[in-house]
Amino acid sequence: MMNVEDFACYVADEAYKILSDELDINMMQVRSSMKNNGTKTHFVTPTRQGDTVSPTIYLDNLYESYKDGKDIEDCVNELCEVVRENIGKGQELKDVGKMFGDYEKAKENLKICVINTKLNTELLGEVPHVNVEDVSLVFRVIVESNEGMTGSVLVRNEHMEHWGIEVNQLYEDAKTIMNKRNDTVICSMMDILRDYIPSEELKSTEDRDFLKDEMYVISNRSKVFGASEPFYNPSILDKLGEEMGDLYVIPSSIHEVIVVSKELMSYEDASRLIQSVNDNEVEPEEVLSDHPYVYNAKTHELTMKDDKVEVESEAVSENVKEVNRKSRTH
Amino acid sequence: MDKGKAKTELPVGFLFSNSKRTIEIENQVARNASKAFEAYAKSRIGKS
Repeated sequence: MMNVEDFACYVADEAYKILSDELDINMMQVRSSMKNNGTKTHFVTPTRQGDTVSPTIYLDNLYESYKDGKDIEDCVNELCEVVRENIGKGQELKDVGKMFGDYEKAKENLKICVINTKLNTELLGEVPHVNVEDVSLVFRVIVESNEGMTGSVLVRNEHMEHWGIEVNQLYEDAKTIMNKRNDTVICSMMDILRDYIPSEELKSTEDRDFLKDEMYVISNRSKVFGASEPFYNPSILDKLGEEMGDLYVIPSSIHEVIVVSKELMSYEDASRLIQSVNDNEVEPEEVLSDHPYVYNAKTHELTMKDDKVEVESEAVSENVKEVNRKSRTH
Repeated sequence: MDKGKAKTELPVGFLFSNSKRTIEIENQVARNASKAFEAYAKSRIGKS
């Protein structure tokens, strides 16, 4: 069984042999890049003479299929098929080069995203960022293709050097553009789940009312990288705070957060729930955090936890010591 | 279906490259978060 690097090189080499004459490909490069939360992705880039833009085909799913028993030659054939479908596409994206050469063009397409600070120390060394509590705000430039694809480019330190700007300016400009774009979507969990949970599972009117009136999802229209808003603009929680009091902001993923009243569960229960969902239902590279954030409806601040929770944590620790002492005496 | 036969979805992005810079353009595709949402919703439904 090959490791992922050897697999990527093998399928790329074999695909090149098949396609170089057929599609006039002069090179099939294999690269890897660091993604969110320390995950690494491997991709192949077939290039043709004269093309400024080449497709990048990510191979990690294919490697998983190979490990699950897919024949290596089937893997090569699938890669060839995707190369055939995508070679030559995206040439209109060559304007992205001009965009990254000129900050005034790039800033109109800025987007603020949020990632976990501790899980991304290596990546954060390569990108401009603003730390908020235990998460970091990073920046992307949105790029649209003629064929309806929406892509994004992570802003890196080398881009900042070329633009000649500091992170403070990037942050202020990004906030201005995000506010102007007005892309935030707040909707009830009931609306989100209407198509997912069979109606018999919504046992009572009380359940449905809860999901309609007391649990909200905050993201953006594209549902991608939409979890950042409460962290750079907590005022979007003001209206919900007026209705529900202090809130838990639950980091569902890097793409959205869920908001509920702080009265509904303890901080520890909320943390356990988040950890369980992260472990079972969220891809590792999309995990944002393993605990809720607390929005104070009076001060309008969003923080990691409040003082009351810190006192409770000490009490929990003492209880655990007592339970351990008792269990050792049996 | 035999895992070996099922077609694998391969995400595609783009790479811009000229003499000055190389830029990786990642395709933004919304994923299906229904299972996570369901887990959070049910954590409350059971308690109401």
